Amino acid sequence: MQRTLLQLFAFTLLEKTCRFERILDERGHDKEQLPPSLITDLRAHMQRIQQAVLETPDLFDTLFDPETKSTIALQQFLTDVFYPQYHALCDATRWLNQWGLNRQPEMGMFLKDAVSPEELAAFGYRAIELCNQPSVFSHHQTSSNPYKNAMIEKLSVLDILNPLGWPNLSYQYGLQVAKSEQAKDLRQWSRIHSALNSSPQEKSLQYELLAHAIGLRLHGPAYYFNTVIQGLLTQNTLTLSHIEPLLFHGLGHNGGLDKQALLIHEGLHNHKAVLADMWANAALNNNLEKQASPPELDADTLSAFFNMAEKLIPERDAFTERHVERVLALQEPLHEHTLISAKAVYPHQAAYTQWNESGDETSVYTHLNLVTHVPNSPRDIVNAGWMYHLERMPIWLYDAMASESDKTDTLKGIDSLRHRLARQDFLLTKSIETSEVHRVLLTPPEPAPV
Amino acid sequence: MSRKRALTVILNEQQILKRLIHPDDNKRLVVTPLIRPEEQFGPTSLDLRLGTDFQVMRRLNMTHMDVVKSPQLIEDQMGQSMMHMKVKPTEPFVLHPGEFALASTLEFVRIPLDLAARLEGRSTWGRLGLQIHATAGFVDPGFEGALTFELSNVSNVPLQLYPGVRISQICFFDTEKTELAYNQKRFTKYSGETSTASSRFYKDPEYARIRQAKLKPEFQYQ
Repeated sequence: MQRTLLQLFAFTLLEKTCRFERILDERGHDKEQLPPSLITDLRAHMQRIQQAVLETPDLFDTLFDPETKSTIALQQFLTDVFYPQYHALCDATRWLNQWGLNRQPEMGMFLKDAVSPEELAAFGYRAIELCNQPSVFSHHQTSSNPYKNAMIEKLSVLDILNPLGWPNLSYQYGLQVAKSEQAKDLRQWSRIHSALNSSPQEKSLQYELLAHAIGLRLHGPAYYFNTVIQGLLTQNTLTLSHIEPLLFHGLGHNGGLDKQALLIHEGLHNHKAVLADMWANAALNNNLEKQASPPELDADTLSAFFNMAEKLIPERDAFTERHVERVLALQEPLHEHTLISAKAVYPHQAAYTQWNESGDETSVYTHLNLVTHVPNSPRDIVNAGWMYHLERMPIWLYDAMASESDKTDTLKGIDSLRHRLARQDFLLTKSIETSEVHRVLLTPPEPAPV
Repeated sequence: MSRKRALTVILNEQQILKRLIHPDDNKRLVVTPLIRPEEQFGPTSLDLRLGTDFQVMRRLNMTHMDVVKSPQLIEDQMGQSMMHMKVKPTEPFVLHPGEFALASTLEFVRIPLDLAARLEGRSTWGRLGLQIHATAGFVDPGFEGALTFELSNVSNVPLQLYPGVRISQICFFDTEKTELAYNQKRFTKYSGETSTASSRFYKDPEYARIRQAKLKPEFQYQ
């Protein structure tokens, strides 16, 4: 468990520095915004953070050598390396914020896949803005908002090009739904309010929890991993008892990705694991734990949050079992670095057999359905991206750190990691935009004039 | 490998279909997504669509392209001078008369080692003055990624180009399996790209040699 967590912390820090450097690469030519000397400084700053991780004594052996005798303790790594470097990285994002939000169109395509513009309009309007405080993650903190109908989602500048960070951008929508009249009318809500009726802070925690349950209902495991990993990494004190097995299944605990653990319907039935993580993170964010332990949520109460989310978000908008099979099927093309915007209606083997059995005289034009593709949804694409990312994480970390031991070129491994992450982001964003073009082209044409 | 050469043939629609569904990964031709094959299949070709990202060269601050500067300086200069644009699926990219832009196919293409391909324009668009490539229409065995368009408008009216429109066609040639795939070539620069990639001419080894030669006395000319 310690090793898996250490891998997660070390990898995420390196990953975020690579994302920072990529934004410098993409926008660093705009010298009117940032002077070249500052860009040089920022690059050097990122390299210092990377070196601090790569050169941590005993870290490589602790992470990858089961026989190692000298190990580095998780808490020691967090105190000595992770948190100081994490804060240094976080602080540096203020410079990137100066470039402003140049939003990718794919982000809008992803968000409207879960909540259509009509459904969104019923609860207000969504605004996406950069986190006004330096931040490595797009986060859930509610900002002061004088506009009753505005849902202001906070995007980290490092997530602009990172589709895996976008599921968080549904949080304020979830909160708006949780506070709506529609939610208040639910019987479970009044029962929970009366059962846990206490401070306003705890009440707001209940809204947060329902917002998370709605986020999970909308985006599936992508929302869960995004939120829980962010929660884990942004605490200044780590409470291991709060880390539930679901995360570890996803992180490939004990080797190999346990795909079953990623099935959201299983996650939905495993209420305690999912919501306990959310609850702990929300409590820590609100400093509740420093004053008193958050109230224990019994299994019935936890289930009630999911039941409410199920009632508030209709089946047609939810990430359900029908998405799961599609997400699993996207793993193979992702590993081959193939675009995953669409999938063939017929598997190759079945199509080949059918074509061969059709006889020599058959017209090819009557069999074109064998090669027709149907578009994947942006949610399927992002969830598949998360699965791929989590599965690759230990391998990419190993490669980045193993290259470091070759002292001739200490940051060669980081170059390779940066390239892999950029390739992953490109593939996912191109898949999202291509799937949208695909849907446009499936629109039935207007009827011919009579 | 046999050195006898079989006749190289252009694939017809039946052969293209068979390659697209071939169960053997080494023989399968990948073109994804195939949105409306009934509109895309031709007797010996497959229509490909325009993607969403474009690159246009800004000339405002550029006097010339110094091709023997250091690769890093050229990369910086290219970065400053190339304007990247992404259009939404229902919005057009407008290519003005005489303008040149880079774009790419909507489709991801993977060519097996025993096929080569050639990208061509469609006459529908040719009649409007759209050229889809300047010189680089050949696709090597083993290529994978989005194919790049070098778009030029040689007409005298601006052309609206929507993503997803079929502006090109690709045809395939049967060949003996090559020893080296495109992505295994030593100086491959564009394999695996899924979006529009600008020129990386400065990575060609000739420029490093010319840079060195320019410094040597024996290559200083009176």
